[in-house]
Amino acid sequence: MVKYPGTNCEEETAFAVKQVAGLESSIVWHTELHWRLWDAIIIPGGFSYGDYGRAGLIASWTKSIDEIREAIDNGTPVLGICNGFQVLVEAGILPGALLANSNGSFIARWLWLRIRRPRGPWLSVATESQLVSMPIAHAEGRYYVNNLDEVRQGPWIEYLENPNGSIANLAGVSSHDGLVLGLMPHPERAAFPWQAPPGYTAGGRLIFESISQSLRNGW
Amino acid sequence: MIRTMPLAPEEIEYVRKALGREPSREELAILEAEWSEHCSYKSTKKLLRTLPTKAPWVLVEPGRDAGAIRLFDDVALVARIESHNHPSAIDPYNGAATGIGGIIRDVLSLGAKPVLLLDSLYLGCLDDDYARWLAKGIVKGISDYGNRVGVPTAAGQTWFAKTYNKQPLVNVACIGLVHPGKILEGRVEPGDIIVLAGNTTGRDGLLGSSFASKPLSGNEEDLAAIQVGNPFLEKLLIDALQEAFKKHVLRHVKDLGGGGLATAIIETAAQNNVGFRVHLDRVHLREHDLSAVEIIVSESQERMLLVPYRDKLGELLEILDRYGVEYSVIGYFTRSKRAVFLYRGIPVADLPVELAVNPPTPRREINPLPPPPPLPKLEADIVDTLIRVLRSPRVGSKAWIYESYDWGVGGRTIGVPGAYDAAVIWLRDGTLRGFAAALHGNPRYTRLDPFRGAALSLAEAYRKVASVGAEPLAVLDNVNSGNPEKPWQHAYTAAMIEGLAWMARGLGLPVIGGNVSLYNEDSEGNMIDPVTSVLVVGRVSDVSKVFPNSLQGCGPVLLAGITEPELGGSEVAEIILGKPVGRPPKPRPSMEKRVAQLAKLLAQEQLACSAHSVGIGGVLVALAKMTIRGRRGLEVSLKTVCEKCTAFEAAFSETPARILFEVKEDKLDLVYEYAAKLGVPVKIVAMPIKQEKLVIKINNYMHQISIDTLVEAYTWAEKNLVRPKGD
Amino acid sequence: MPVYRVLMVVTNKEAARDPEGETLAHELRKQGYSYIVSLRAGKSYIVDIEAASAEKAILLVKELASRSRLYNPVVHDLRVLLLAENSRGKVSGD
Repeated sequence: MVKYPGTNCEEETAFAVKQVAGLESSIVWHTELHWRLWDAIIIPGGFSYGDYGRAGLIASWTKSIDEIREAIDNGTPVLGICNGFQVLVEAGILPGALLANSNGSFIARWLWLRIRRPRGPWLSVATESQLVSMPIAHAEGRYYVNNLDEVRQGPWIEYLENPNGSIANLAGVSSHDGLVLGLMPHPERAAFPWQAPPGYTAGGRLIFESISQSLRNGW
Repeated sequence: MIRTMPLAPEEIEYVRKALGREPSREELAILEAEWSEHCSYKSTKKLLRTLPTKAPWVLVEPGRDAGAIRLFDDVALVARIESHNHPSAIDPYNGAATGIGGIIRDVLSLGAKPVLLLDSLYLGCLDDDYARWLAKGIVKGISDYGNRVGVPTAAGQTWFAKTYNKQPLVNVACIGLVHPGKILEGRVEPGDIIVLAGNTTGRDGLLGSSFASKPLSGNEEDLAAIQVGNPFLEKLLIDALQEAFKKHVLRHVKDLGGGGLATAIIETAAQNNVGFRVHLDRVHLREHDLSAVEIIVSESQERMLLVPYRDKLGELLEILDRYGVEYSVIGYFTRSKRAVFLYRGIPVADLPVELAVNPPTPRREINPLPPPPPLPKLEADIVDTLIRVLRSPRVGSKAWIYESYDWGVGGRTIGVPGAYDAAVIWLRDGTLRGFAAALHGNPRYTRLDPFRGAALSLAEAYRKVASVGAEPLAVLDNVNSGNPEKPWQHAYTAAMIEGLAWMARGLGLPVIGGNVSLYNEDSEGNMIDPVTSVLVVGRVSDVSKVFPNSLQGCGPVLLAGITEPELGGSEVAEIILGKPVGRPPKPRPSMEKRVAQLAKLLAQEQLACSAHSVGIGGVLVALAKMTIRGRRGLEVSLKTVCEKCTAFEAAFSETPARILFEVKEDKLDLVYEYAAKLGVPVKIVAMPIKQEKLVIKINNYMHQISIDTLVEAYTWAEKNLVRPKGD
Repeated sequence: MPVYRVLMVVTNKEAARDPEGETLAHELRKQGYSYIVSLRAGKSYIVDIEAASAEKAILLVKELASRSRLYNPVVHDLRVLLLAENSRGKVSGD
């Protein structure tokens, strides 16, 4: 769990990893990240460096990005949630860009998502077109990419109702093999049934159950 | 040059006598800040003493930066409420944002982790361009600051009225959690080192609390600098302090709020019966040419006073360095009981601490309150009126506000705002324990009858906490009212505090904190509508058992409590007559308590599947909201609601102490039995139906409204007023 | 009437803090851009204005900014610069 100044979802994400995935996890200050020590890396949500410039921009300048690149080259699964996704995109590890929401405002709401072509360590227990619900909470989550076909080589996650103007309703994109996943919705806020309001379910469990399976049995 | 509100001539004379000499410029500046209404509560101190503050579960009574109660044996809940009215009227974005920053630091001062923010906003009419600009700025300020610091804003309320068009009221509250044994007690000893951490001190922070303690001049350009909040720095402060708390490095922490450096140190010294020596030239500054006076009273944001344990200074500074938080070591506490500030080695102020914290009490007089305008007989088409009430911005959907707040950060929030009557926060500690909190104020009631109004605002916050199934435990209040120097305005302040005290006693709840904002007048000296926002917090033993406020389809809807024909001060009266009219309903503390006990029992034993407290708009509006949110049809019988009322009164009366429960069909008998035991009258007022409709039975005629029509009315204001075309 | 392209920049006043600019400057210096003395963040708008003259266009934009409260005189500084003039429909920004 990589923490930058301004990261703010690290504790609940660590809690979900422990309780749902049954895995040990630690919160690591970004300057102290050494990829060899970890089986998987999560960049949690928040406002790294206050989102100044652009969300994820300043964090993408830090040395931790070199560690993360090396981790990926060596087959370590990497997940970026919300601001973590923004960091991965700013660093060029995942394609595209995350622009200001089309309504110009921060949006926090529960919604339904569809998982497409699941594969890789973060979606190993998902089935094609599976529907899950999770909340979003971001100001800069309008995904944009020039080449949609490129993105569709790997697994992706799409909104049933597009909240922010993302191209092709994209809520999350991935590397071709699914090793690196970035998504705007917050699985750690949908990891326990009582977190969900009436009409929704704890869809974030899927991510934590997948990584649990994957690290134990491969993917 | 600093322009604080000067001391009154008799106050200066008092200082001269006490010191036996002319006070220095610096000393006057300290006393101006310290004796301002904002810091000293000099006009309301006597009134506030009438509030009940004791209960076996109270851990920290009012007087510190925040209050605290024992929520569970191993968990304390820390809370604080404060207004940021005057700054928000000038610069809505930064004014509201810095309000959030300050309230979080207050909660940090007790050693707690902030886990919930709430806001109570009193805004102008959205069809007024200026009022809409203020409203949007305030909401965006709270959103941009609160979201960045990682504390969820998951509950609150918003009122709209013309009186707030130019002067909105912004009340914010923060709740934190800490182990009861780890609450910082605020104790310091002579010899303890004083560290100032956070933002640099600068001219941007001049003009704070004395500015909050006088009417706005109307000439905003006239005011020099405004404070810009830095949520990123606040987040670093929060993280650094959490680490310092964990490592037991700190013995005392205090926010530098109104009155700046001088007030924070003097209050600490007064509480501990000690004095201090502080070197002003050691303070880290933004502008290097800041004078001693400016350093003393600057209210630059995101600064905190830290007092480490004797051998822990090095460890504290290491933590601050790691998070990139700037600091300076500025002095130490002494045995002398004198407040001594030095600048380049020369004492510039040397006052007895006692003098600084005890301003002479000003004479405040009170005129009798005018009676509320009488209520004429009201009658109108019920379906049509229901639609008009749902379209009222006060009643309609507030999604445009709460969806711009990060209500879910921390992973502790149950559901979403709007889906429950109160915010429900899970402790996320391996158990299902949690707490509930609701914030409410009704300025229409307090304008018409301040005693009843404040009592009813407390009752409604209490009822909201109760209706999720929680057990209410404590109260915090924020009084917003007029000029204490004008007897007819001060009467409202006095009556609101009396009403609050009376209701808190009736409910058996301690008041563990509060704030008073005075001088809320317009440029012509007219009082804007006074209001008391009340925060109620309660215990939730199992967060998976709380009631949502949307129909779930498990059975009939039961009304608990009695309904009287009480349309005075109601939403419907204002909508029909165009202004607040009549005497607000009678507060009923004992019935509130019994209805709350019933709610707790029904949640514990899971005998109902949803609940909604009856508030502004009355029973029919409450039922319509349950219908809208659950998208399930209901057939309502108004005659059953109140037999001696007209159908119109039954529909829209705002009698307090009522909660609607959607009861499980097969548990009805048990619910009746419990209600009888508790002495709560209950009756079925609505039955589920298959069609997506609200069917209202009036004198044997059936009136039908589709849920889509209800939704359209409920979301009308936010669709048409918040974002009008071309905006 | 001719069309003028006008740049409108809204920043916090010098006397007020600018957390975004200050943070960016600090982090950029850490990246080695040590020659940065200061950096202010703000919002900019490019507005095409129909006006009788360039002076009039600038005046109109200033009035627009104040009236609409796109800039709040209490906290903000407003700078208005002419980018291009007299080319209806296809003014170039450079």
